[in-house]
Amino acid sequence: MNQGWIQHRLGNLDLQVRWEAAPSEILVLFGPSGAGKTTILRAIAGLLQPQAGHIEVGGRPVFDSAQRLSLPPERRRVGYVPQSYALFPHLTVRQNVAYGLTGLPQREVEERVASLLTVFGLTGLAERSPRNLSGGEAQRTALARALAPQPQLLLLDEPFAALDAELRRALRRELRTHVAERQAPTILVTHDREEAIALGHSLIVLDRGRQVAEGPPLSLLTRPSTATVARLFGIENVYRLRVLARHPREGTMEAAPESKDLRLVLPLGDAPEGSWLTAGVPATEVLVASQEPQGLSAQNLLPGVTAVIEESPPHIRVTLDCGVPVVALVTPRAVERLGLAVGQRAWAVIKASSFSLLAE
Amino acid sequence: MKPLPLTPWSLLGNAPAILYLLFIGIPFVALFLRAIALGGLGESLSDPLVLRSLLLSLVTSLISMGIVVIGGTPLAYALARSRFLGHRLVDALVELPLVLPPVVAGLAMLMAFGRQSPLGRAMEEVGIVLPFTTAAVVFSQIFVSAPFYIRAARLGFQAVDATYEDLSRTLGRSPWDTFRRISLPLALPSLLGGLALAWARALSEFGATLMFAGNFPGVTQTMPLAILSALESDLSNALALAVILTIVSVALLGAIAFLSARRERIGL
Repeated sequence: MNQGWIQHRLGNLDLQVRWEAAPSEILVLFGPSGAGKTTILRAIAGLLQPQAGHIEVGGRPVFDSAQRLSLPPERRRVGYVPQSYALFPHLTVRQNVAYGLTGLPQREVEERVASLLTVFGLTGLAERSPRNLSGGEAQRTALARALAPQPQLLLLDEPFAALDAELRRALRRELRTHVAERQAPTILVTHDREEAIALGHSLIVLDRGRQVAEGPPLSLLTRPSTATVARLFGIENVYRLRVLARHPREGTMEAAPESKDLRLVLPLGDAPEGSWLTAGVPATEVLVASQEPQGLSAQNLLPGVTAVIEESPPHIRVTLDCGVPVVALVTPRAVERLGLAVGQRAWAVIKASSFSLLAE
Repeated sequence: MKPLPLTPWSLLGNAPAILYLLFIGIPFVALFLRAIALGGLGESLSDPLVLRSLLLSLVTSLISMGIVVIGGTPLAYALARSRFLGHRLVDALVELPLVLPPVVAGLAMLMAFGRQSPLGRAMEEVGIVLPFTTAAVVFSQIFVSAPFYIRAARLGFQAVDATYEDLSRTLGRSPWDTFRRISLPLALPSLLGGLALAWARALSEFGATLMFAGNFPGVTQTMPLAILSALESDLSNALALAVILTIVSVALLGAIAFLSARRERIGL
């Protein structure tokens, strides 16, 4: 088991966090920058001494402020991939991957490195300098290097931040597979909500050093326990949907919630027809109309009834019942202008591209 | 890079620069021309006095550089990486010899280790006499040249991203392994550049050596001192020594240029 808690004061940040990462699971630390995420990773890796805390890696205490225990980083058996990857510039890809393999016979080192290079698709790049790698290649090299000494815990700091969106999705899937295959528990830091949801088996939401929520990502999203969590995620509408039809030429697909007479048009994903997926849309992306709109380019026009109107300064939060609840954030002036009132008919308008596919 | 167009105006604008280059270049040309005109460069090279001073210069500067590297590298690393008590004081002390006239440095060492000083007397009692020995030559060279190396090494270590060192530790490497395999190779171009500068400075050392070690052929008479002595008797020997010293210095400058070019290529 990998678990621990730390307290650390650093400038404006007053960090207090407690975590637990189960084997072959990814624990995501999610929060805006400055929330203290990287500080936690550095404390676990032994690169920073928290003022108080207890840290266990693979069931073994590596830090305990009460017992004055603090193992140096080299004895913690933790794999660390910093945001910059920090590939050693004077070593080749192969030498980078082999760097952590100490105290092994030369032949075994070579075998292990060769197998890692194969698994990560780096074989052709083995003799290259890290300077001549693309972002994705550098990321894979950093991951292979961190995994080579078979760490008890993998720490990833914004591993995909430097990559473009398409590559990010492909590598996310790859990462999930590696973690599952190696049973390497992982703590991943991100400020990207899609990444948090796509990768995390469990999630800790951090805001200014405090743990504001924790749990499985989808349940956190569908039932955000606090306004802070909803604000941090920025996805107030989350639906479990079944794919009805795919339209590759349009770049869209149609999906519907269970036993509801409602069809949503979403951006095309990988999910085959008949499979289930989770899609979300931020409340700020939902338009509200008091009369049925005509001639819209948006593909989702959902008739419903205004169910709740509540203050969410500076906005007003309007919840429509369209078979499923649809939350919209509108300005106070818009509410006045439309004459929105509870119980009245209203339409929710959502562009297909405003949906993000959270889990397929 | 675009070549500068040679118009009368650009020539006028660059006149100070051109004058400066002539100012530096002409004495070199004069030195070499005169040495060749006088001839006997080969003869001077077989002169035992010339040979002895050349050998002494090479041996003492080699020993000095060994000590500077062994002692200066850890100090430079500590200055680059940690903030300890008295950090600024150590920093200032390290760079003091850079601004001190070498003659003053030599005199200061004489006051510290000479027979008149308590330290000198104590050392003499256990049989160690420093002033006017070959060891004093080495002391003088270290005193004036070490700051060049330590300064360059410190900047080199500072330029190495600490994330590399952190990462090396998480990959199971000890601090010493990390230093040897990451910090040192990454800072190496700076270290070598600093070493070349320090070496050139040690080879040309004159003032401190003269004050603290004296000018005894075969014992403390290094090349710069030999040039002074030779000038009184035989100009061709002085010129031969000057030419050799110049060639060695230029070779060291060439080494620096080569290393900085390499460093740029690595992209550090």
